[in-house]
Amino acid sequence: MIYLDNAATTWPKPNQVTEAVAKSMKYYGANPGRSGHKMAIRTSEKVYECRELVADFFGLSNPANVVFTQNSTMALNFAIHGILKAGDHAICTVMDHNSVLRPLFAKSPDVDVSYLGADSEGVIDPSELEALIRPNTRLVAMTHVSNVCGTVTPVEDIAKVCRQHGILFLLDASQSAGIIDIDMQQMKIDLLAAPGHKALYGPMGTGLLCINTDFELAPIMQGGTGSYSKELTQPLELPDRLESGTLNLPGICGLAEGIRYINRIGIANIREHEAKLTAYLLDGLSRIKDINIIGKKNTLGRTGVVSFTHNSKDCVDISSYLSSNFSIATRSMYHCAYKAHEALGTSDGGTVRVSLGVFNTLSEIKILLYALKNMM
Amino acid sequence: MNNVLIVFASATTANRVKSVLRKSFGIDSALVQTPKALGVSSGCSYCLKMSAEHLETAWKLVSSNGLSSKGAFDSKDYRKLK
Repeated sequence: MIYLDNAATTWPKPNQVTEAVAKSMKYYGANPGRSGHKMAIRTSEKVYECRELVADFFGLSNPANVVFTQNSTMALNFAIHGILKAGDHAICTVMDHNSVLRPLFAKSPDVDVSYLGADSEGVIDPSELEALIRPNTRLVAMTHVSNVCGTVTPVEDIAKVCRQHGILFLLDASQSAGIIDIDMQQMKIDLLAAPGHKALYGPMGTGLLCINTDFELAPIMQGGTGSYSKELTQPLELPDRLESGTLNLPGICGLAEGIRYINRIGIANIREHEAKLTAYLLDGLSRIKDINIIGKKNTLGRTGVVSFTHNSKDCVDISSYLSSNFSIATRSMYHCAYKAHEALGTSDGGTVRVSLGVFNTLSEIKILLYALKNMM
Repeated sequence: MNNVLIVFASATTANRVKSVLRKSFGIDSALVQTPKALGVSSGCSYCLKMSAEHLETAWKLVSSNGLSSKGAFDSKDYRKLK
């Protein structure tokens, strides 16, 4: 298979990740932070090891501010529902994924939501943010990189405006964590949500909410934390405040190895590799009749998430053709981001999305281009 | 030499202190469940067990970072030390 659906989840995973998951099932099989026997202690230390890796990766000084979730969607929900109260105002963008848009929409009409627009290439202009801010604006939540067309938003500029106004800034790093270097302290990001299973190369079932603010998020889930058992109230200290129930220990062990893998290769090298492939892909697509590249036409200000349409072929048919005839995996239609498609001009029919990863090769891109050139 | 137990409410805080003690001070400690007889745990808490000679360093680390601890105790007679 030629796997070009890394924006959905990365595949394959590094061998070390698979091995770590298998090893954890054998040697770290106790519930961490619950019992006092050797395996439970060892397992809790393994969890903490991953917290340290994540904290270091995103520039957080306190590993306890790393909250493990099931995925980025859960992390975003924890943040959005944990921050916003009736009467608040929030700002997001039209390029956001439903994992940002839906929880915000669910807060209405108690919470007003404004949308920062984007141009036809999916570019957001940070200077437009100021005009949307109100006295009751509590939160700005936005995606770092579009999951439809790979456009990168200059989030440092957004974060600066948020800090000036005392507004919390939540970054959806679902398509940027592991591809773009993110330092939460330097970039003034208050909260960051990321999936463990995309460009961090961990298993599915892992996600992160990284917290770089003293604001105390209201927990939307309560339960056992392995601490303060006599008390009926949810513990206040992180991560227990937002982590109830048994953690995905095999996933966390795998995620730790995924981050170690990225650290060994270096984010800059990963970005360079994907940029080379993206440049080749964009150039190749631009030479195929009837194919229209959606978003930026070159690698500046974008990642390896590339969407295109065809003048006469349905995008689902194209993906099906690629899968059936060439075992090429892509994703078509609206990518859980319909507003983005509206901004990009593809709301009538969607796009074929090709999304690259560290294991993709130039040969695979050549085969994709050959397949597209020879579509009947 | 005796050992001491520094009690924390959560495994994460205990692991955090353990990690800093090892990396910054070269002090080894063991994560253990808090003995019920200490009478400070509201259920399911963890201690760091270490040689008594390291108590002052460890306690300074805990208090100067505002970390929540239920105290430090002698590991044999459970006498409260901090």
